[in-house]
Amino acid sequence: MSYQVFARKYRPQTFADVLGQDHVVRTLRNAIAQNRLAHAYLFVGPRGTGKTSTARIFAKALCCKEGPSVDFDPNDELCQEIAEGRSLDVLEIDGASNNGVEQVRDLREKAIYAPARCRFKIYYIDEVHMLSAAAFNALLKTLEEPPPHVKFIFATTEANKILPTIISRCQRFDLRRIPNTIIAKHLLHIAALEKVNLDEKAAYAIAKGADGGMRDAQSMLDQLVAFCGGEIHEENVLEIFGFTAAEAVAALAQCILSQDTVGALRAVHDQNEAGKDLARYLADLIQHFRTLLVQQADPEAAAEDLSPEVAQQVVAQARMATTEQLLRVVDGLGEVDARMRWAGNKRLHFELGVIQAVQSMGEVSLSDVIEALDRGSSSGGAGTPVAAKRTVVPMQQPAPVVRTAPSAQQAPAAQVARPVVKEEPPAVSREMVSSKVPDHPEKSDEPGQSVAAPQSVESSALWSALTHEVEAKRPLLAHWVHMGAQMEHKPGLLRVGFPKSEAHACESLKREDTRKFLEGLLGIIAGAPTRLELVVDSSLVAPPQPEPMLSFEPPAAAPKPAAKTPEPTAAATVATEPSGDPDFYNDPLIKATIEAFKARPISAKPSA
Amino acid sequence: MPPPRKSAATAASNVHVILGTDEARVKEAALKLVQRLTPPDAGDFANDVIDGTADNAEMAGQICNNVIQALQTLPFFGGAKVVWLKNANFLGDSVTGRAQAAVTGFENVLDVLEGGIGSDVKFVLSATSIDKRRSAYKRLGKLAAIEVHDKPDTSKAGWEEAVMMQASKWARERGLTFETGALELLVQMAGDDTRQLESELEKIDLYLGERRRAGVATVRGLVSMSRAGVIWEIGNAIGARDLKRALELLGILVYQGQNPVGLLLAAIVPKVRSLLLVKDLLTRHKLGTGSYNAFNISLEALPAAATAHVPRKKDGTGFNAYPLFLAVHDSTRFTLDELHAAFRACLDANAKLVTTQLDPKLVIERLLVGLLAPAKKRVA
Repeated sequence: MSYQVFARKYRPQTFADVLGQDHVVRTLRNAIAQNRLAHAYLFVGPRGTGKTSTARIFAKALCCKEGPSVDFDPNDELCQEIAEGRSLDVLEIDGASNNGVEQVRDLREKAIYAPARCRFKIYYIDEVHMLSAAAFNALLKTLEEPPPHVKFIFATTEANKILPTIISRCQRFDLRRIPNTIIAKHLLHIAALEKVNLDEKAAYAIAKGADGGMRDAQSMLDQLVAFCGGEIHEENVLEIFGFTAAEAVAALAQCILSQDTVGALRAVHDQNEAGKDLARYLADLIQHFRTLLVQQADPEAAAEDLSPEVAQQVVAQARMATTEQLLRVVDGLGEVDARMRWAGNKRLHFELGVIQAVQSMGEVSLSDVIEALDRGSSSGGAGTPVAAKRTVVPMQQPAPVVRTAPSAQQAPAAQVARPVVKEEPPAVSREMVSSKVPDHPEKSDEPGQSVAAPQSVESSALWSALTHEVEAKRPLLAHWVHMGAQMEHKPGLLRVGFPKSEAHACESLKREDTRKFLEGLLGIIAGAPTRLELVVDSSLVAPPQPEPMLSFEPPAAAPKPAAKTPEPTAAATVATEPSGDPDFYNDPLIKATIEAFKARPISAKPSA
Repeated sequence: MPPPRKSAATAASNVHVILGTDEARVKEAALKLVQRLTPPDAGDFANDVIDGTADNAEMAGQICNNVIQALQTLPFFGGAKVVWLKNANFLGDSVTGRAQAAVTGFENVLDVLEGGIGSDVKFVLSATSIDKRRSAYKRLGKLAAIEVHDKPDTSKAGWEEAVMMQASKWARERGLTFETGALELLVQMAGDDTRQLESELEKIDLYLGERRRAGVATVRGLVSMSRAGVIWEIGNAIGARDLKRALELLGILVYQGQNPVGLLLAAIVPKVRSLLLVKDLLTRHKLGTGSYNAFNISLEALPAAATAHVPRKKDGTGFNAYPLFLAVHDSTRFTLDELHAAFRACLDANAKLVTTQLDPKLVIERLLVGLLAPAKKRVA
């Protein structure tokens, strides 16, 4: 007997042989067992997922002796005929080449005749989406009410090209991508039967390359057997198909995550020297970071396609970075990928991309700083969270250019592109926002100490004093507090008004935790528990503020920061422009900083 | 599923027309009607069923001639008879339907009907589409009791309710029960096509075997998604901030060959836009969120400047408020800043999809992770 490729030799013969499509198999088995057969079936799925195999098995189950039966004998004569495609009653039609209305009319005319040997006359039309619209319409009537002995089975990779009227007349089954683990196990099974020594890692590498298609995987195995003989190892797979080992990709990702620039560059060098396609290596690296992202969101989904060793690495690596950091790395590598496509020196771009990725791992995002500031100030201003987290400032100087293969001797990890690490709290100190309190007796981070003198504040300046305290304790609230103006003070009650345009500040301060914080401070300042009443007053006019948010309303004319209230004691009327060089405040960086932090410039001091 | 509409024509008329875009229901209603009109004990001799599926105009003309002959032929044994023009596909605005042979042929049928067909002959016409601009339709309206079975309008609020009742009824007949949310999911995934809905129920029934209760996972695993279902499901996952489900759906759809740009523009961007719009409105104004009516009324009451950017219905009669109302609850899971960033991220993703050669799936996955992952997620 002539040689048969694995894909044909190991084509599933019974329902039990169909892999990765349990939902389809179980439904079909039950349909046969309960004799509830539809007259038309539609199998949808990408190549190599089992459409033709399932259709043939289903045809065999319907037409076998003493059938329809789920447990048919695949060696039965009728089943053999169907499996070999020579049955008179199971007609396999290629929809791509028989796509005209004439062929469908011909089919329609012949369908009325009874089957020759089998119980049913089965029309299996592959690539049915290739039929013309007229052909589909000609088929509609027959498909709607076919003779009792006729069953239609359609298969397609593109269901969206089939008329909805056809789809609605069929029982549709969507065949899924076969997970890599199942493909790998099946390859090992085939290898055992063929007496080929297939490495498990090699099986996973093949499965990864097959992208969910069993036929592709079997063809690749066939090719490997022809090339390597009876011993197939991972290196063979990687060498023949140009893949990169999953471990190599994971190792590079590990270097990036642990900010080991030298290790990362060495990994790139090794792969390049081994003749690997760097574009593919980069694509695999991006895919690996994508897997880490998915691992953080859905560990089961991430582990589905990985070998056990790589799955363990992925679990560990996903813990080494935040989602934001991973997203930054993916973005950066994506840009490198785009640049590399048109670059002559791909390695240079790859290396630069890797260095950038390492550096981006060390960056602290603005939101982290804000959060740390907020946490730090609310917990007494110790500022510990960021300090504990190691604030990493990326190097200002460009990373050293590595011209040849890097080695540990040439460029020790501590020297090459290692970000400068500061072990101190962030430089964004409260000087920026709270140094405007010249008359403050003493500033301490402890709330109890800082407002130790109750009743020392005049009744009319209560809100003003509270504002100073808030600047010191919770700088991020200061922006909102500044919008308020003291309206009324009675024992046990402070009424504060906000301009209508700043209603959001009022609402923000009304939040449970914020209000409690403010009332706590107020109680200490006033020397007695005082309730805070925050109201929106349309008679107040807000000072001009930069508005970083996207607004759908046209910008209002800048109002004068003057309250019309008779006793404007609040910061709503306080001039906010500090004295000094106006150019300093027009600097784009300063402007951007003010906008990002929602801060107000209070004073400018030359750096030490 | 909307209840069938019937015209004001006399119920005692001998001419019955059953129309509608819901093919399965048209067919079912026509069959029931013919069975009811068929004289008892008359057997097949009392029925003259003419298949109305025409491949071309010539065939349409031939079908009309057959109908006229059937109408003018006396019943076999002197009793009554029913002539059923079944599934006529040449009455709509199609190439065949516009052809002279088809138009003249059907007008000839109407001439015969207007001339009177006798009390012992009944005529039933069933079709999924008919061109209402033609005089033939108006003539038909005067002659016949027209019953319309249209598919529910999925662009209108509450369409799911009627379909769900029908699905629930069919499920009960099969002895199936559904876990909370599973039936809703089935309806959304199958869409407005009742035939597909029935087919999906049959699949679920077969899959469950002796088990009689279907869960959400069963429905998700087994039911083929309609196009509307795809959009609804991804939008739902985004609204629920369910990253796992969103990634799973994306994986399935991209693997099935759906265009990622299409997924972005049809499924992701509209949802993010609705969330952003409604979050912004809720931040700046007080809106009634208890019910759709309250929301719509409060939206209408806002000054024009505040709602100039809110999408309107195509006919310009008012706000297209339903998607916004649906997003009200979901918007509580996001901050305004997050939604601003999300909208910008959609723009970036779109630019990447059309201007770079990055893996489209990766671009959309990155977008979804950025949108839906908790802002401060730290695994360590």
